[in-house]
Amino acid sequence: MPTWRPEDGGRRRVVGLALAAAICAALAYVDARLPSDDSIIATVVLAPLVCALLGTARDVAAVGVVATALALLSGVWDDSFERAAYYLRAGVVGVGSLVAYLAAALRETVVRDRARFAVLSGVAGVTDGSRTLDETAARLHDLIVPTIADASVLDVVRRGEVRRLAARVRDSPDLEERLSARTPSLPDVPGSSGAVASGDVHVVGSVDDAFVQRIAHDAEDLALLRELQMRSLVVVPLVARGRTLGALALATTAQSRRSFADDDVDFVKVLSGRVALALDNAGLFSELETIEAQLSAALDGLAEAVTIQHTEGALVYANDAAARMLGFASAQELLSTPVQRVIAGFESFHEDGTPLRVEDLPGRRLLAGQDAPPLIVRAVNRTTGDERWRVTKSTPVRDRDGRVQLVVNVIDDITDVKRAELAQRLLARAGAALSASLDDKRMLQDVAQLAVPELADWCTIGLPDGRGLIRTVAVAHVDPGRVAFARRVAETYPTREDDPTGVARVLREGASQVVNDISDAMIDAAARDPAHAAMLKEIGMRAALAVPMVAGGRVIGTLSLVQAESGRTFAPADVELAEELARRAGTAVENARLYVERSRIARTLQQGLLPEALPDMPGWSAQTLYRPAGSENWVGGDFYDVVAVPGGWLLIVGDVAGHGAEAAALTALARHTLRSVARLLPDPLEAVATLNAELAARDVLSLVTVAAALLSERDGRAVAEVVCAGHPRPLLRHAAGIRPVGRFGPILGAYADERWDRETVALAPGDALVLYTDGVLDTVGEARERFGEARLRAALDGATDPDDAIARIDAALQRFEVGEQADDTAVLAVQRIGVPDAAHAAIGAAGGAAR
Amino acid sequence: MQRSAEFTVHVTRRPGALVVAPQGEIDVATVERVGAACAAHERGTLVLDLREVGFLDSSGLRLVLECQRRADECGHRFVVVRGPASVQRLFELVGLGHRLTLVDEPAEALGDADVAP
Repeated sequence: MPTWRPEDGGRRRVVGLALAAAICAALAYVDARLPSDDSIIATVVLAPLVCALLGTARDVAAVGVVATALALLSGVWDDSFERAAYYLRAGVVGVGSLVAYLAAALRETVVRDRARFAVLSGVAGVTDGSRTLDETAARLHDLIVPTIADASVLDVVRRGEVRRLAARVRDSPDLEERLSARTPSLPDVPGSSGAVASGDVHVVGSVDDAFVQRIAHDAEDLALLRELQMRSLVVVPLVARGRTLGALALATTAQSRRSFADDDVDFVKVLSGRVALALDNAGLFSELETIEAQLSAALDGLAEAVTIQHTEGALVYANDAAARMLGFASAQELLSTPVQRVIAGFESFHEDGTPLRVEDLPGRRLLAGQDAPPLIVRAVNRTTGDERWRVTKSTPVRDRDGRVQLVVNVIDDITDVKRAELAQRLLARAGAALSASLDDKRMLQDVAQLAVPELADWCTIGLPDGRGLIRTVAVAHVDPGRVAFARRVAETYPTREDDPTGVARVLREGASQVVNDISDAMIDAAARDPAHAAMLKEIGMRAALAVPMVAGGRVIGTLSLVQAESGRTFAPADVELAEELARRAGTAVENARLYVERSRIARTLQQGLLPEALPDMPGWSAQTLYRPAGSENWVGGDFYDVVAVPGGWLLIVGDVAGHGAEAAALTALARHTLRSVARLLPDPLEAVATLNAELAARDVLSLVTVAAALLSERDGRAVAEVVCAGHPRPLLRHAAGIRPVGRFGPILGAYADERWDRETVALAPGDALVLYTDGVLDTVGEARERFGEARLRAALDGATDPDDAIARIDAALQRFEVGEQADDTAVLAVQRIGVPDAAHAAIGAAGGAAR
Repeated sequence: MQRSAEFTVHVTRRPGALVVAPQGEIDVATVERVGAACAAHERGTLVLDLREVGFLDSSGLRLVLECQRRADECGHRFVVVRGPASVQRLFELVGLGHRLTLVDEPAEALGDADVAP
């Protein structure tokens, strides 16, 4: 017999029982008052029948028994035991009661089944919804309590452990709360953990205190369980798609005085399947929800901007980075702004500078069924003028048929990379431009040209002209017409060094100035007159930047950048780049100036080290060859001289070790010492010894080699006194052939206590003397062979005069030489051409002495 | 510079001596390397071994003289191991032969048994 009943309200039962009792009492009373022949006791059958409509089967049974008893007892007051009618009446009541009971039982079953069906369909409804696990549990409990049970507990398996999901206790929020917090029963007693572990259904038909004590965790838990006053308990595992999700525990309590019976258990098993499904779906949903939340959190946390576009192009998702990138305070604000408005906030360009069309965006291309390679875009915020570089990568999300459902755009801000790239390229190109020329105006124009349009719309460079004006020496803009206009402005209204602001101030103070929002009022304030203001306004300046060109700690000019039609402004990185560009330009300008200056000095110096032209030497013909090694700034090295001395000429060919200023100074010292001494005392030995003393006295090792030859007339014959100081011996070409003359003597400058010897040779007309430096002998040819004395002799052989000899030597050296010339070469050739007339000799001597 | 590609300077530290042995031609292109090797000398004897030097120009000569001057100033020994005749001739041409301490083998310069080959 089922002891479990659907909850249908006690009041109805009480009403039913009361009515039945009233009917019984009233009929019994009336029947007793009626004449014994007239009995209405049979109508007492109404009592069970009425009760059957309102009460439970048990109630009806009780009422039926009472009604039947009354019918039987009616024989006492009707005195009708012998009458057939009495038995008939009693039979009618008995059968009627039985029928009423059966009807009540049937009704009870129907009501119960209906309730069960309502619960099952309700649970199915929960399954369809998209609730969270907690919402689902609450909804399930709404359906189960109190219709099916007085207390219900849902436990779920999470990470391998049985955890309480929710509990519901009829009419007792306090117990419900405590039960919700209760740790599920341990696996070794009937309860959730055991049901989950074994997969068995636990049924405790009658819960007694011993059972409660068995399952209680501790004293507090025991108190809770006792307060709950369980009467019966069913625990059933929740299995969905082969997976045990948890357990459902249902209990009846003393409140309803219900108990579960076998068929209740069967129903609970069916119910558990539905509940499991509902939880499974809710779990799936919440898993999805969790994933979505995680995904969203992950996307929100990304530095890259992510947007998701619907097929119509509208944004359905954007993360915070995307919102920030597009100038919105939040993703929500971005999503609620029409796409067209978002796009219109920027002026966007392709990498090559062509304007970007909406349909060029990779997301749009994908939606249009086209391929979509990553796109690099330069976007200028129309409001702020902020210029950013972005690369957009779009990926389609397709449905099963391959149609694009969504497009995921990942937008990377590559401004820093692009700026660095631009800076690097700009500076590299600037480096090339700055080293390409020594003409500073051209150089600066090239640099200005490089800055547009990548860094700015305009670039101008100003240099002070030393007369109070700052000359605009370079102007660059993509449009030559605009350049001409700007030049006209600069010519009409030249900048003065004492202007209070702008370029003049940068030049004075050496600090960069940047104005990112130029207003008409500012232009009016800066302009000389309304015409000037109008001209400046025509340029349409939005932002201006002026940086100093510094060289050697001095501001030598200014580099100015102006943003106009592009609407850009200057970021700190732009200022840094402009400063670097200006610094390099300044250094280059300074270097070019220094180089030009140094070249001029070097030329002057070198000229000072060699005679401008050989003096006219009566009776002699002379020629020189001078081949300096290295560039034009390479001062010093070999030298030669022809000095008029009393009674003749001193020929000098020398070699100073090293190059540069020090060598130049040494050369000058050697040359002038030799000259001075020789003019006072025409003796080459004396000249050489004096120079040696001078050089040896210097702190720095100052080495000079010299070959000196004093040409003079003795008894109408020409003689040459040759002295060599660490120097190759001059070659004498005479009728007998070619031979070196002179004795090897020590190098000059090494030691103070040295001595030298002279060799005196006579020179017949036609004889030639060739003085040269070791650069000739050391000239390197193929296979590192040196030119040597033999080749020099061969070159001299057959030469007709000094010009011819020099030409032959030069040609031979050039033929022989391989690679860059390593050392200076100097050759001085003189030839005796005849007896000079006395007057010439006198003039030559006098002229020499006078110099 | 390709010319100096065949040029090497061997530097050997001996007890009490630094032996610098250039190999190749000493001219303006290579002299700095020899100079740098010699400049590393701190105490004891500096030996410039010219046996493997095929050519010496005026810049090389200057280096030798600089080494000699430094030795004179600092009071250490500077010894030149004689090079080929062409190189030796230059010392005579510039009148330096008698100014330098010239030896035929590095061992002579060091005078120690441990430097025997």
